[in-house]
Amino acid sequence: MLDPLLSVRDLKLSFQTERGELRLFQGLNLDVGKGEVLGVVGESGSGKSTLAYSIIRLLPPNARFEGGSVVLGGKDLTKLSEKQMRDVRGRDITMVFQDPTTALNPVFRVKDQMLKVIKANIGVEGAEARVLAMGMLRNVELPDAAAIMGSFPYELSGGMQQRVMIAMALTSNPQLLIADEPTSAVDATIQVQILKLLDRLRREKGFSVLLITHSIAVAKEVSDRIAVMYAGDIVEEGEAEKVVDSSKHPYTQGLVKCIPAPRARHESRRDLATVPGEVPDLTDPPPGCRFHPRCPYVMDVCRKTKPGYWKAGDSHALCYLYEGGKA
Amino acid sequence: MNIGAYVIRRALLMVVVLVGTITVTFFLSHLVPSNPAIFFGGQNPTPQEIQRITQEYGFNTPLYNQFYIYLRDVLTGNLGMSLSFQLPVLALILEGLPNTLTLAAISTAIALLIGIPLGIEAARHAGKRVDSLLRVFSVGFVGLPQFWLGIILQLVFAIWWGILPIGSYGGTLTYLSFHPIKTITGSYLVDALLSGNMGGFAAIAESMILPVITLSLYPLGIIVRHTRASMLATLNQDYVRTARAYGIPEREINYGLAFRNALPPVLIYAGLIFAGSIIGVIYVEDVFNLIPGIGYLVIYGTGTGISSSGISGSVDTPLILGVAIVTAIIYALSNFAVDLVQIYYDRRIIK
Repeated sequence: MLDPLLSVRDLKLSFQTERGELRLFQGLNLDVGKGEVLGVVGESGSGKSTLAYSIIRLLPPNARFEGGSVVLGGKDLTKLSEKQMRDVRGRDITMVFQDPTTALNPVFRVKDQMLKVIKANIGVEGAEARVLAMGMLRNVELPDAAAIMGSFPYELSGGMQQRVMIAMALTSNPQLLIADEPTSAVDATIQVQILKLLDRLRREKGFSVLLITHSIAVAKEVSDRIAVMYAGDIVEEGEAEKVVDSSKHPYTQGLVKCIPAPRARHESRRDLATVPGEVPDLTDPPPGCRFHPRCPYVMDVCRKTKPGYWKAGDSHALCYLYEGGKA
Repeated sequence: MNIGAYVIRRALLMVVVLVGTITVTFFLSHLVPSNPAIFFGGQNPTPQEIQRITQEYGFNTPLYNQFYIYLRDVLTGNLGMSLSFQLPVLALILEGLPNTLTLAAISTAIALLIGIPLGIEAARHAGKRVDSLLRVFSVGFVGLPQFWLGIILQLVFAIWWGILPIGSYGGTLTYLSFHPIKTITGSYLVDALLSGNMGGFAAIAESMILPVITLSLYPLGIIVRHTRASMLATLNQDYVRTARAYGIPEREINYGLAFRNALPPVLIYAGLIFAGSIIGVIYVEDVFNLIPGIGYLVIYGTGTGISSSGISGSVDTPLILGVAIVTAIIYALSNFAVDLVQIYYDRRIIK
């Protein structure tokens, strides 16, 4: 990747919880290149959605930013005022959410929601805004844009609602689209259509995508690169194919094993593989490597000190197996 | 279900509720030991006269028979004769109702116009000082008994400070007799305005300030609490997060978007408050000696006042029943109106 659009450097973020301080990110680094799709993969609770919300600075009140930078096109977003940040949201960075049935407002027609977003971010109203909205609805392959505009979200199918969401996200020609589990709430067939649509639009418009997903298989299909998250750390990062086909980090290997393989009819049903153990309680994280209690290759050093981020084949991994980049 | 079918269903439900109300109030009112024949007998009727009237009017027939006749009359718009006023109940109520409704409408409107923004601000600053302060006031307002509040306001504003009239029915009427207003809606306040009688309008409006405060503080507290709760639930919704992620300004999110989502539950209370304030008006009209609405009908009808005919001590059942029915109709209609407004705001209600 030559030219990063988004650079997250040394991001430190903690949460004040009832059980104490939860130190989620302890110096997280991440780059998204121009026009690139970066897949961020991890289990629930790994911090992948929180990463997205720290980029656009929409964190719950108990979150505390403790340092680092989030640079988008030369601007450090952590230094912006709330008002300046509001201009970034919806203009430079937009978002598509997991469940379009709850992410769209049920009491406003599609038209009203799109026009509000257009007014806030492009500063255009009335007929001109309508033309923009209609054009974008056609561009996301929705038939009869005029009818969609006049509909309430609940009158549309989940797939159609997600297309409306994508149309809303792209009218302002953002530089970065954050897609937070964009296909987890829709049928498998719709899922493929949505992913293909996003891919086509990205090629046409050249925006970058930060795709957040729990499915490493989905990430492999559509991403250029993949970052695997575990307990607030990026444990492995590299080209999508390499990360999946020759995984380096034991956690990634576990995730890849969980991808259900197609089976022939005569084969008996196999149990779906899982990564044994659970995501640790981060108010009281395990010392050393946060993955060590679940790691099949755990060594003494893993229990004591945190591993470095070493080169591992064509990827990078946060693991003592690759200490000094020797692998 | 389409909108038409929904509206018809709600309308039919309203009729069922009304018939139920008439039934219950009729039988309840007959539990009160009171003999209507005494009313008809004039001053000091002899037992023979009472006996004769009881026979003649059928007061000795079974109650279900009396109820049948009453229901039949009510459904044809005949609420009977008031025993104490010797006038048709319907005419008495229709004459007083516009003034009562004016007071109820103004109080409810003020409660909504002030209560909703305060509720939104409380929700926006949930847990902060503004929220705590609003909580103290709104809970306090809900806790203030209106009969006490009315008297205290009179004491402070009229007697101690002398800046507002203590009760000005007489004064207002004197003014109006020299500067008459046309009867258009039946509401003195509205008619004075429509007749261009600004002096009269000001006099009536001035006499309504303390009653309106008395009536609106309780609903104001209720509206603040409910708006806050509804707004808080709304602000946690995904679509509010979406609006934030799209750079929609906070003000627009609160007052333009989330408010619309939070409104329907508040409207339900607004409907109940409007109808419920009719009850408060009955008391307030008496305490503040206001231009008579239906309040004084109730006061006299229950035998607590001295009627124009000078007879007291017995219950004017037709009048009380009539007021109860009209109040029930107002309840039903305002709930029906709320239903319609809710459909306008959120079509999913009819699904």
